[in-house]
Amino acid sequence: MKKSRLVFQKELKKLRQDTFEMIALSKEMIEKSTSSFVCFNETKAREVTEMDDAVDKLDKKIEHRGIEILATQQPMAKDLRLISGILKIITDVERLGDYSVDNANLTEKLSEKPSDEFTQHILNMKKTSIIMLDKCLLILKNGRSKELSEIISMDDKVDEEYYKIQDTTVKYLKDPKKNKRDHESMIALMAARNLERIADHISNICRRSYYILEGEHIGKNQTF
Amino acid sequence: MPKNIIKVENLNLWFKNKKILKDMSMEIAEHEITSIIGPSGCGKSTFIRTLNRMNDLIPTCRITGNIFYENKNIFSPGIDVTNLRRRVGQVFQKPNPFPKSIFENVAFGPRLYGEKNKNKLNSLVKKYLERVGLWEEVKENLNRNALSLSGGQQQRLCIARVLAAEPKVMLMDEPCSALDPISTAKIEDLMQKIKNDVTIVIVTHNMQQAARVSQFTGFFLMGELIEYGKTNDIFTKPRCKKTEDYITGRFG
Repeated sequence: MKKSRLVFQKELKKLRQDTFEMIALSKEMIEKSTSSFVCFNETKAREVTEMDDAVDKLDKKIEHRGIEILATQQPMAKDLRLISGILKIITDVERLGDYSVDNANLTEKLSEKPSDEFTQHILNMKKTSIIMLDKCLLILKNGRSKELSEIISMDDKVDEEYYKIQDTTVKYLKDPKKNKRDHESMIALMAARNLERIADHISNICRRSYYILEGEHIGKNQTF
Repeated sequence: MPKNIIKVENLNLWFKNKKILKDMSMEIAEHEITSIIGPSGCGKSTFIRTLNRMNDLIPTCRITGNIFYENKNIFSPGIDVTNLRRRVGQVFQKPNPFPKSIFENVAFGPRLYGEKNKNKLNSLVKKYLERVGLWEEVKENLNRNALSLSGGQQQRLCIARVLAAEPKVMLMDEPCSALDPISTAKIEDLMQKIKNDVTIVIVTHNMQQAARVSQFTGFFLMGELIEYGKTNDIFTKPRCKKTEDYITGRFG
């Protein structure tokens, strides 16, 4: 089969590449912000804030280009699903960046390195979230949707870690010996909450990816 | 799927030895708009011309299979072809008004079917010109030659002429391909307005038009019906790769 609509195909390719770049940047922000928090590294935290500008710029660029392609190329079927899916995905990706900035800012509110009782769970949450994002990105790139429901279910692991941090925080607040560290525990809880939201947004990205690839909601037979 | 008005069963059609339509089966839903899409030469126009036996006029045409219009086989010996074409009217790509007045164009069908009363003809002409949104534009001079109208007006006049014969099905073969976007929009609006009375089958090269106006779409390729289903499904999630390749423009 001869290739046709070359300009359109080129535009779609650029849109995909920009989206992958935005996801990769957000991933780096999640890693860096978590690392800045658990290591109490304020320099790293500032880098995260700077990276957010690039994510926001890509968000606007992709949205603008996506709308231009819709207006000028009238995409259909899988192309239409790709563009509409990307326009939704970038909102979730942009939120990944925002939550990372929030966590970087929380680093600056710490007075010392947080306790391992928190950081081990925070690192687990980050690790699971990054695995989810990496796998989703790979699926978006290679077009095979099989594993997506498995990836979405990994969000439960992140939630479990978050509940552990909640329990630890409550324990700290109740224990007179430890409650002098209530400031630290509250900040750790906030950071964990941000990571929990990050995993939720990654789940959304997986759901959108499934729609892009299969044209229906994950786990349901009906279309939108 | 709503009630069907036309049922096509294992339709094959040849011009001389060349097979144009291959074993086609499909049902046309009543009071809905059905689009037929596909690349040039895939048999779209031949197909819709078969629905009112317009291909009978081509001596080398040979057909096997059945087409039922309101449960009657249109190829049965007892079928009155003139009456069939009255019930299954057609609008063509290029507007083809008769070189007569606007009035005479619309009155042509009713006159042919026996209406002689001048007052009744007047009211029928007004009714159908209003129906197609042309009345206000032409009411001052109905004796004006139809050929002096713009392309879009001529096409709406042709639709009024078909409607005046009170068809149950209207076949439209690329009715907007020669029209500007405003005239196209008027015809598309008109189609939505009349579909409760007239079932429409439209052949179009404009996929956006098919997506905009129709409830069902059939994709033809090299004489075969590749996919037929709800328009929303065809344009967002087609089942066949060939359909997807065509509607996404990957079909070279």
